[in-house]
Amino acid sequence: MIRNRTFAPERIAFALFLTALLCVACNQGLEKASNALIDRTEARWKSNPIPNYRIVVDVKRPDEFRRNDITVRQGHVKKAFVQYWDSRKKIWDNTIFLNESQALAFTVEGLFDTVRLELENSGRPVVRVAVTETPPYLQRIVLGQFWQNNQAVPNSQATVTVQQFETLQPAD
Amino acid sequence: MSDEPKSGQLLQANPVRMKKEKTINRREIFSWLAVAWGAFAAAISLASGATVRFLFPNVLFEPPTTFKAGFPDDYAVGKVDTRWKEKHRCWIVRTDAIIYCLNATCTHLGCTPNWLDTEQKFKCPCHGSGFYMSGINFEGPAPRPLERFKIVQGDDGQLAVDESKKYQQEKGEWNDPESYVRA
Repeated sequence: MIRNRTFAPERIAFALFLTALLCVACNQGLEKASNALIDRTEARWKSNPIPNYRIVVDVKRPDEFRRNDITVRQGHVKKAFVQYWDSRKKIWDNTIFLNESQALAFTVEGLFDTVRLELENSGRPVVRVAVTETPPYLQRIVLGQFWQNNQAVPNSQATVTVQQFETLQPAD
Repeated sequence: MSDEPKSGQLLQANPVRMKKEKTINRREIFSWLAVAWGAFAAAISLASGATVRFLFPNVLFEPPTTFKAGFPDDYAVGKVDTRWKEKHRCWIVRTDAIIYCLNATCTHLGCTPNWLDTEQKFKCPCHGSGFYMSGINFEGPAPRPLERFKIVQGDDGQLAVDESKKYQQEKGEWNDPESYVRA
């Protein structure tokens, strides 16, 4: 029996799979940020908070790539520094130690506030986030161009990505 | 006895011979496959080459990175001049001793701070980073001072700012003579 394969279900399924793959690749699990989403995620974090952790957060801007390394103990920043990627030497360089007000923005709680402030103040039409489930925090924040006087400001976009999250023991 | 057909005799096809003519042996199949794959690879290579070439335009329509900012006397001593903020995203500051050009990009997440004359500070509207008139950060999440652009005084006496060359305080680059002009 000759089977007409033009509309074979496996072909349709494969086409759908490719389309889904394309969508995932384009969005990388990101969704439009909203206060409701941030509040929900923060409530989940606060329902079972992790008091001791180390978080490594990358910030990528058009002419800058930096890595924030922050250790939180009992909910307070214990140690924090930032390093800048030197694309010529191919090393992390220009280490700057951060005080609490500088480091807070890249703690789990600070990332929630960062997005809230962006939604309120920045005038960026594009603010997208990717949320992890266990533990619940903002794994990736994509900030589109900053707008001022009805014009997009060139080279003002930024991406914030949690590269590493490590739960620490109280005695570590 | 001759094999040639006699006049009036129909020429009959030899089925065995015809079958032999249509058969493609294994060696030929591989040859054709090699040709097909070669053609496919060549087409892909050409398409890839064309795509890569497409990434490098023949002409770049980029705005010039240098602009003339007028004469030093156009700037008041002890003031932050905001006239270039919208067009070139920078402020020109004149002190008693020097004139420098600050990049109006917050070092936290790239927003544009505002100069608050009453409070004598730059304040970022996004996350509240604050910078002194010098560009040094003192509050909020900004991890480092604002950057300076290259500024020189040309032969015509006018200030020329080059936005492609930046100087960072934490690297000691504000001592570079091209990061400021003597007033």
